[in-house]
Amino acid sequence: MMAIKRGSLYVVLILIALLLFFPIIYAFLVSFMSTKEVLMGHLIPKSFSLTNYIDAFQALPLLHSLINSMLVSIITTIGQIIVCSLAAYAFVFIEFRGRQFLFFLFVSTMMIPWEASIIPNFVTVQKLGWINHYAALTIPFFATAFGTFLLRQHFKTIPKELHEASRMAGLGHLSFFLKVVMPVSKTSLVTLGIYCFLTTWNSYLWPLLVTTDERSRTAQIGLRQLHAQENVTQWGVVMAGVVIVAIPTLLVLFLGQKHLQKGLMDGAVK
Amino acid sequence: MSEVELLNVSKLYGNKQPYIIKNLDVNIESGEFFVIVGPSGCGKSTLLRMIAGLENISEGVLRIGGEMANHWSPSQRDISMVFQNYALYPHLNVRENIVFGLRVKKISPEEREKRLLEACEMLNLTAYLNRKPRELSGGQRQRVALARAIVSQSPICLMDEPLSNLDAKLRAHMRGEIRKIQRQFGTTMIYVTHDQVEAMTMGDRMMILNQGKIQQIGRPIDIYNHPANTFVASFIGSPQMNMCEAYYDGNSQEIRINKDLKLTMTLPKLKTSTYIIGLRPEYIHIPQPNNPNQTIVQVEINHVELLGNDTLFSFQINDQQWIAKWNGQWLFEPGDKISIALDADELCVFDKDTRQLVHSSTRQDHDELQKGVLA
Repeated sequence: MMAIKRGSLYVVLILIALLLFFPIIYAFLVSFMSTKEVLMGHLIPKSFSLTNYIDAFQALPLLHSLINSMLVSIITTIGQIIVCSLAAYAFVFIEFRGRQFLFFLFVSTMMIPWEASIIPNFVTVQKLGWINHYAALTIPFFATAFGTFLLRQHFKTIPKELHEASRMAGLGHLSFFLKVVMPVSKTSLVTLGIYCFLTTWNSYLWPLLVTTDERSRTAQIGLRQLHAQENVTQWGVVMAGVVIVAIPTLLVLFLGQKHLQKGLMDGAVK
Repeated sequence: MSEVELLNVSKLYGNKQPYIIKNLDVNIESGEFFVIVGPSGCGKSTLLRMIAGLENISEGVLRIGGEMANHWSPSQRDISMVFQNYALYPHLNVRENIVFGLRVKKISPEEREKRLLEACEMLNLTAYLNRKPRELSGGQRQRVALARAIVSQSPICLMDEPLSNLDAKLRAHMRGEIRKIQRQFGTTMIYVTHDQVEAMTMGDRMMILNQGKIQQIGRPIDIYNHPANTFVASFIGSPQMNMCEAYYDGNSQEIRINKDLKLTMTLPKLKTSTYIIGLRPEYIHIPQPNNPNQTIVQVEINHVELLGNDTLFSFQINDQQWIAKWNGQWLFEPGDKISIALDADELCVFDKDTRQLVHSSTRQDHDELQKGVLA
């Protein structure tokens, strides 16, 4: 009885998983098909040849834009973690007048869509002469209300006695931040890191605006160019590009998941 | 020499709120085990945190080792502290937790290791050095917190209800351990608790706080025998002291509790008036024949608790429930009418309005008994 119940549960779960995963599986399969096959509506390619992958690399400086994307995402992630964790620390562990108000003001900026401020941001970046520089692609994303909010919520769960014990031991703010707050917040830092990496990796509009030459463009824009270059879109090549671009994001998720352990705070108090 | 001195210390949050602690004056001697006890919310933890430097002192002076320390940072005061919830660093193992503070103080690795092993030996932690706090039981975590305080070798150690999260058996064991360690190192210990057993058994002296004010400071046994006011009388001692109003007639030298219960006692200093009298549960006796000091009265039992070695039973005196504690096992039932004996010498008398002690029990027989058994 238990086995049947379990078995049927698995069947349902597998079906739902397939349904949700279908676009990616299909993209993966299409990446091996010729244009003709795609247009005929085949589901399974006749042969698994790598022609499309080779074409994708040849049609575009794909490798270069992948490296760009990788660098931009890593710099943004590190920058965001540093800036947001310091801001969150101040909001939690340093008492100052108007702290609460300032925090809510800070968080309320989450209600303004990024697109609404894109023009002033663009003008700022342009005036700074950052067009086609990594600075334009990374620095505007260092300070985010979301990241600060996420980390502040986690920092608030750190018992205040830990801070007091550190103060009695003679730790200053910076050492307490580095030696206690950051290590015990690993979970949240990894969560924020993954989220930040994926958003940056997948961003399209902003990189399109602030880059004009091939050398500084990111992979997402490269993909888009693959799509429109010829009259008849070579879907096989586009999908090959998609698969290549998706690989790093999947890797980040798989690697990050291992670190998303729960219960890091266990045992601190009581 | 007084190690920690509080002169007229007060604490208030903001400007208008009531005082959390008001005009506190106390000297804590070097090497003393000083217990601060009081009900929750009486300001005892706040006081401890003020000594530690974790809270500002609103008014008054704090001296540590004779020097004014109001504005010293917590680490300048060279004080170790054990928190109620231990405050262990969850990402560090036992070893790192214990030496964490030493590393900050830049103490040499050899010295660190020496102190670590010494403390772990003493507290039986050697087997757990590489475990994380979450892999330890409550008692073990408590010992790690204790070890952290020991290795710092600070002359002053503060403890904020360190045993309140442990079960009764472990608590009894740790009471002894902490006292032993304190004696061994000669640490000046300031120990906050709401548990009057801890206060009675551990302290050289204790201070009873209520609503931010000192009620009494003294040796635990003196406080037990001569409580300064009704609050102290009811707070120290378990079961608590029985109390009720009674009328003292200076002419007939009689304390009248009610129309059936009168005790003859000489209180030359007191004028005829209504007072509050107090009597410890163990001073309600089994009537003995031919004892002229006894006043025998009949009461109706309304509740019995058999503890095995002792029997507690309660009865009504005027509008108060009194509890008596008799040695041994007494199989009474609620509703039973029994005779009990009271001795006027054992009464404490408090002023009805100020609630201060005006006459304390004059019983001294334990001293004499003690002389009989001492070798």
